[in-house]
Amino acid sequence: MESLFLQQTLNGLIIGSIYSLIAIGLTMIFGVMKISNFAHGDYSMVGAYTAVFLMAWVPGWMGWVGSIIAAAAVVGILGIVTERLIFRPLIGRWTDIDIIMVSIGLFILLENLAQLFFGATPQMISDPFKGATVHIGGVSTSVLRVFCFGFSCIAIGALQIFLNRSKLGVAIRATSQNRFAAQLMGVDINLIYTLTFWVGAALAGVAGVLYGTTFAVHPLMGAMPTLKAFVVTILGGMGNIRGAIFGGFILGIAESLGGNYLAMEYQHAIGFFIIILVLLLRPRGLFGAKEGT
Amino acid sequence: MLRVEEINVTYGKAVALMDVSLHLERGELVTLLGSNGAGKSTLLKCVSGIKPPIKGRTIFDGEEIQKLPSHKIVQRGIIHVPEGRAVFPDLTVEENLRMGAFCRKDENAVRKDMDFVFALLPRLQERINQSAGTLSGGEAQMLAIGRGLLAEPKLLMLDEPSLGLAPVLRDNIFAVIRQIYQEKDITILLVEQNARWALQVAARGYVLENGRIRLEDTGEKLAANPHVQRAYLGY
Repeated sequence: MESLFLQQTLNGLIIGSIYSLIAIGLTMIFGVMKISNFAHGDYSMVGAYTAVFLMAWVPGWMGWVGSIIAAAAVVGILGIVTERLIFRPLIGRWTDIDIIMVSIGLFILLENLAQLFFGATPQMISDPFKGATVHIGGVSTSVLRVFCFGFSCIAIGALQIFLNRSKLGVAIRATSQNRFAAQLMGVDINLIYTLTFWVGAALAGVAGVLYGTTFAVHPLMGAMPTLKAFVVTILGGMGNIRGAIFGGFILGIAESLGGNYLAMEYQHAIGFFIIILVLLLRPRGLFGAKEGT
Repeated sequence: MLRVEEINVTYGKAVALMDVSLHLERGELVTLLGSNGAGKSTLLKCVSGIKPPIKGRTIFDGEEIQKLPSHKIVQRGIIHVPEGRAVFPDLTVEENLRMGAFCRKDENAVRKDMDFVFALLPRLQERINQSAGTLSGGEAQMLAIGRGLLAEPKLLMLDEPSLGLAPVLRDNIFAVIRQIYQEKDITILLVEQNARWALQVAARGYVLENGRIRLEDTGEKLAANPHVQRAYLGY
């Protein structure tokens, strides 16, 4: 019984790390630009397809690690393109709701383009570790999942160092807290927009490789990560990066434990149950700032 | 040093500034008086490139700047310390000050200015690792001013620095502004609700009403003007 609990907690931590990775980008973009991007999970979908294609050329773990880097590059560029061509022209001119509708349009467009070019059949990214498993104490998991967890944590850690130590990283946080004041410090706001989309999309792309290797790759796979990322973002506080990190782990563990102790079918519902609770009891999220600050 | 020439600024159909002209010479301290909604903050936002004018020019050191984006204007040395303090609440005091120096490359000069700010505002040094959101109103205003100084301003525009502060803290801020003006080679445009003090410290002043410049004179003469006395000095 106890080992089952530990096992499910471990599973939850691993999937939660991927949720965090996706949600960080979503929350950063919301914080800096006040855009709710419903196409965010589709950056993960594109990242996953990057891995499918690259690993057809270079199989095994080298191809896998390579596709994580490639996905960051490809999806990072996609993020910049969507920001420049779609979102930036609308900021300050259209209302938030309009921009949400546009992002839903982008989400449908990306899904259909993927269907057109890659077909609707789900594809698998073959396990670079050939199904090897590890046992620690009473729990076990696949080597693949251990590496997924490791890469997520490395990416999250690298982002934290960037945001806390580098001048541009601090400028991103400052812009997210007060856009007007950041402009008065001489921050080029358009550069920050591009940078935020680039970093956020690249992280989602990396997460897509990890997510796609754990599950399957298909054109519609982006919808679920988008919804999960919104759950995490609301749970942690809109725009709050630390909230997104912890929120991702909390959601992963809650789903995993809930799926085990309640019923597997309810696993995906748990996140939305959490949203309802958060919105009722603490609308600014667990880590969110007080109203008006 | 700064010339604002007949600018118009609008928000949608609402006209915020109409044919406003003013000028500051190097080393001057000039005050801008006006009631709420007169357009004082809009004028500062216009000069700093946040809200560009639809008509007219702003000229700084001989260069037209009204079409430049705000970050380019900051690089030229026009620093706007906004109303309501507007510190970055989740950054530490030190990170806030560093953001002030965002455009600067010379690390030694930044450190020197940091020392100047800490000597001027010792409370900031005590709270250097605290997040700015935990500061009191007076401390946050000190931080906003310190952050502005770290940008190496040639022209410092202070928007309502004493707004919402208790009298003791307000006097403290006034003393700090006076000291900055005396010790730094700096030009100051001061928007201040405490007209009595502002007219004492400023060489010249402008009175802005309903988006237009209504009066322009020396501080002394404005303080003696019956209209100013009635509307701003509470006689």
